[in-house]
This record gives sequence, structure tokens and C-alpha cells, in this order.
Amino acid sequence: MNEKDDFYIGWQDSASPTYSKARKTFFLLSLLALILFAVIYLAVEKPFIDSYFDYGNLTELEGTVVEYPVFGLQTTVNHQQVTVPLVGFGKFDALPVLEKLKTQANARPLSKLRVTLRGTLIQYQEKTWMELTEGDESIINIETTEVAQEAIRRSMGEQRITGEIVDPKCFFGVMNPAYKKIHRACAVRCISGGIPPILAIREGGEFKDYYFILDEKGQPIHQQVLPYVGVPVSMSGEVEEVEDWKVLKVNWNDRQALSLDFSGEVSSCELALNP
Amino acid sequence: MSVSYTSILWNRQKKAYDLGILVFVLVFSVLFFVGHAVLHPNATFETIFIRNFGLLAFLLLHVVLIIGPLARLNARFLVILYNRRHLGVTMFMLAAVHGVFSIMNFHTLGDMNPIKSVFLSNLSYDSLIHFPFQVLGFLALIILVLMATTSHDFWLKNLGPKVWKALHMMVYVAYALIILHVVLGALQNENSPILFGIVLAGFLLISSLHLLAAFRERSIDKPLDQATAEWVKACQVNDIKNDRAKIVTVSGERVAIFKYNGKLSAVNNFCRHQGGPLGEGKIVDGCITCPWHGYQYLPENGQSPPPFTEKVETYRLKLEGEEVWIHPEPLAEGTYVKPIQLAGS
Ligand code: HEM
Ligand code: FES
Repeated sequence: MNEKDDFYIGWQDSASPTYSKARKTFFLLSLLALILFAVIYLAVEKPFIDSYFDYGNLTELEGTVVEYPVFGLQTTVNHQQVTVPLVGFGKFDALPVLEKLKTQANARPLSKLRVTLRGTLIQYQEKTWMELTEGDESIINIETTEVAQEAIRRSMGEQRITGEIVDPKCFFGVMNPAYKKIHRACAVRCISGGIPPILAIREGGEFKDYYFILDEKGQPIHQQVLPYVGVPVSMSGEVEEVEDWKVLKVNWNDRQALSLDFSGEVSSCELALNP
Repeated sequence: MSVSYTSILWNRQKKAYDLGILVFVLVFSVLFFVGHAVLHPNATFETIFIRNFGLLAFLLLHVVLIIGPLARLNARFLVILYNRRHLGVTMFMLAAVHGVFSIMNFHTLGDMNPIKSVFLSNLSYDSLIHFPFQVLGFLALIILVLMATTSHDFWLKNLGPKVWKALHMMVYVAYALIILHVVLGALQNENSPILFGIVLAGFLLISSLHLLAAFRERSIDKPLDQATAEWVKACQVNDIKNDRAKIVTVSGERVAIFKYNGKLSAVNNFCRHQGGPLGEGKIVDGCITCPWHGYQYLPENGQSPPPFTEKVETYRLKLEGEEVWIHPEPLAEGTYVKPIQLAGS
């Protein structure tokens, strides 16, 4: 046997056939494992919901500004009369734009204004949201109308509802997937920054229903919600229909009104609750 | 170290190796992005991007971790060990892209410093199921940063091979953190027994190879000497092949006894480069040549041939008939010991 044949020295220009064959075999086997893994991963990966963020395109919508249950625009999307909730750029609400609108309205009631706003559409199922990407520059036009628009509100009584608190900006399209554990931290940031929390209800893997979470007086609530975000949770309170959205008014001082719900998720586990 | 080494820092073998890594990364990424475009068109770009780089880093980490025990089990795999550093640094860069992009995606443009947010957005530190898994990835990434920045031989020299090696053993801590990062994060979301099975299989592969390699080396580590012994019997002359060594343990140190040119010499087994096993090396051009990266030492004094300065401890040997005896007390690094002349040569 040649002296150097059976011994590998990396700084030599080439390896003996035994070694270069070993390298080739190892490389091909790893590559095969890698391809196999990618194929299996793609095959078993959880499907993604059909949500959409119209990134890079700005759309103008015209309608009436509402403040309840959240800052939004009553308008027409796809020939449907809907309320489009409005959020800010990044992980923030769009309330500075609302303040600006009020200043420009000059004491006129919001319900008597027709406003044109420009932003980026976020859509899932028949729900549309809009990011006021340009901040104050999102206000394109304000006109006065005579007919005051009043939102239709209907109480549906006390109910207990189980679902997951999501940040709707990401959930309805900016990120996908935007629920459960991998999205929990981001959802906390968004809700903490003023994006209104939503309780999303799932049935058989599909999202079916949504509730804005407010406090029992119908006021916005953010920080108290954070420990419950991104985990299965069950909450009770008065349910109200406001146009095409639902609202759940939760009494945060009543511990019985809230609980973490692990049915069908992680049965034998309890989370110590220290909100 | 070897004279021939300096002139060839970037040889064909290294190029072939790095090309292999590049192919690995490209094939996976193309498959992953195209696969998503076809099968999961609703997934957002950021999600695919984050998953692609996290998974690639995780897969490469497995490769990095199986090379060590594979090379100990079968010398042919030394060919993959030689350039493991490039694999490690590539793995770190992929993990860094994944980590930094995750922080940008999930934590920036908000009401808190993004790094603070990694630690404070999910506060369920008291729950296993809800544990903030991103924190685990963050800690793993810090370990990988330390390892990647000290991977150069400059740091090896400054820290000394033993400290350096200890630092780089932290890769196992990083691996444990990453396993938890994946199990408590993505796996929980995906809730797929198949993916869970794959992660488990990876863990079993890595741990069983390490156990197997350790088991194989058990006999080497059985000390020959009692605490008081002066000379101890190491082996028979015939136990050692020509130009090769036998590794024995005396006074808690592994020692390589080489047979070459009808002579015997013993040096400490721990290569001063990265701690490679000199006793698994070979005498090439009259020098002990380390099997890992080819550093060289003269067998009679444990010194690298000039201009290199690495030195290892040497040991005294004596012959009683066909029996090789060793004195357990090491001599200072680089001390000349007259080689034992074998009869009939
Ligand atoms: C700053 C540090 C890190 C952060 C913030 C972070 C964040 C994340 C997030 C948010 C996910 C879930 C993504 C998703 O499923 O859509 C994830 C998954 C993952 N991470 Fe990390 N990570 C970090 C470090 C690491 C490191 C160092 C590795 C090492 C290789 C790693 C490997 C993975 C893997 C393999 C996944 C699973 C991918 C999947 O299938 O979804 N991560 N990480
Ligand atoms: S040459 Fe690198 S460890 Fe010996």
C-alpha cells in the first residue's frame, strides 16, 4: 500500500480515492436526507388560511368614520356595506389619524362627514381591514353630508365564548400564520401597541367568528388582555352586534369571566394565571 | 504543524467541501420556496423565509454534530471533519439570518425595544407548554455567535486549546436549547407526529453515535497505572503497526506510542491545534501527522518542525523483551527523548 494512500491529510491538494469516495458518499446521503426532509415537511405542514395583505398597493376608500367598537370606516367593499377597522403602520393603532380627522372636522360630528382614506388593504373571508400606511397623509378628503349615519347596535345577551385572542392586523393578512404559539409574542406587541384585540373562534380547523374584546363599559382594552393572547381562552360577557361585527364586553375584575381553556388542545395542562 | 501546509490554505479539497455546503443550502432553499409557491401559496414570504433558514441551520447542525463521532468510529470520515469549521460558520450564519429576521418580523415597529420584547412579550416562564420558546433560540444564537467569532486559529492560540475546546463543547448546550426551541415552538403549532418523529430521530442519531464512539474508546481510557507506579506496562511491540500508534492512558492523560523506522517514541495524544487524537494519526515524512487537520510533530521531541512552534509533552519508554513499558510522568512539552531502538532493525 502506498504510504499516503490510507491516510487523509486535508492540506494536500487531493484526497486518496478512499477518502474522496467517502466524502462523495457522505455528501450524497446528506443531500438525499435533506431533500427527503423538505418533501416530508412540505407535505405535512399545516395549511395556511386564505388571508391577504395588499402590500405595496394603496387603495382609497370613502365612507363614514366610526369610533365604536373601534376606529373604522363604514364603507362599501365588493358591493357589501361593511365596517373596515383601521390600524396604523407597524404594531400601532391609527388613533393619531383619528385625532387629526377630528381637528380637521372642526367640531362637526364624525357621523356627518364623508371621508376618503388611503391605505393598504388586509382581507380574510368577508372581513376587510385597512392599514393607514401613510399616517396623517392617509386623509385624502373630508366632506360634510346632511344624513347622519348611525351604526346599528343590537345586544345578544350574556354569553360564554371560547377561542383565541389574536392581533387582527396580522391575523387578517399581514402575516400568515398569525395565531397560536409561534405568533404569541408578535400578537402581544401589536395589542400592546394599540391594535384592538379580537377573539377568533375556530370550528373544525376553520375560523368562523370574531369578537372585538372591550371592557364591560364598552371601552377599549389592551394591557389586561396580554396574558391571554395566543392561547385557548374562554371568556364571558355581554355580546353585542354592531353592524357587521360582534363585540364581547368582558368584566376584567370578575375572575370567573375569564379562564384559559385547554379543551381539545392540551388536556392535562394548567397555566398559572397571574395577569 | 507542517511546512507544506502554509502554501496551500485554499486547496481543491476545501473548495470541493465549500461547494458541497453551497449546494446543500441552495437545493433546500429552492425546494422550500418553490414547494411553498405550489403547495402553500397563502404563506407569507416572511414565514417561508424564517422557516427556511431556521430549518437549514437546524439540519446543518445535525451534520456538524454527527461528524465528530463518525470520524472516531471510522477514519474515512476524517475527510468531512477536516473543514468542519466552514460548516459550523455556515450553520451559524443561517441561524443568524433566521434569528435576526424573526426579531425584525415579530418584535420591531412596536412599543418596546425589540430585544427586550423577545424576553418580555410572552411571560409564561412558569409553564412548559406556553414557555417563551423564542428566548431559547436567542440564547442558542448567543452561544453560536461566541463559537463562530472564536472559530479562527487566532483565538485558538490566544485562548489555548483546552479553553477553546471547552468553549466549543457549548455547541451541545446550543443543540439542547434549539431542540427545546423547536419542540416548544414550531412543533407545538404544527402538532404533527411525523415532524416530532423526525426531530426525535435526529436526536437519537446524534446521541447514539456519541455513545457508540465513547464506548469504543472506553478501553483506551482505562488507566494502566496505579497512583504509585513508576514504570507501567503499555503493550506488546506487535500491538503497534508500523508508522502508527497505540493510545494508552497514564496519569489521566492519553499518550500515543508510535512505531516508525524500527523505533518507538511516545507523545501526548492531544494535538495542540484543536485537540485531535495524534495517536490516530500517522508518521508521514518522518513526522507524526494529526488526522484532523494535518499538523505535524517530530516523534522524538514532540515539536512541530520549524518554522512552527507547537509542542506536546513527551514520555519515556523502555523495552522488556517484547513488552513496551512507559513512565507515567510527562516531560515538558518539546523535551527530546531518545527513541527506543527495536531489535533487528
Ligand atoms: C434570536 C433568536 C431566534 C428567534 C427570535 C427565533 C424565532 C423563531 C420563531 C418565531 C419561529 C417560528 C417560526 C414559524 O414557525 O413560523 C422559529 C422556528 C424555528 N427556529 Fe428559531 N429563532 C431563533 C434562533 C434560532 C436558532 C439559533 C436556531 C438554530 C438552528 C433556530 C431554529 C429554528 C427552527 C428549526 C425552527 C422551526 C421552523 C419551522 O418549522 O417553523 N432558531 N424560530
Ligand atoms: S491538526 Fe487540527 S486538531 Fe490536530
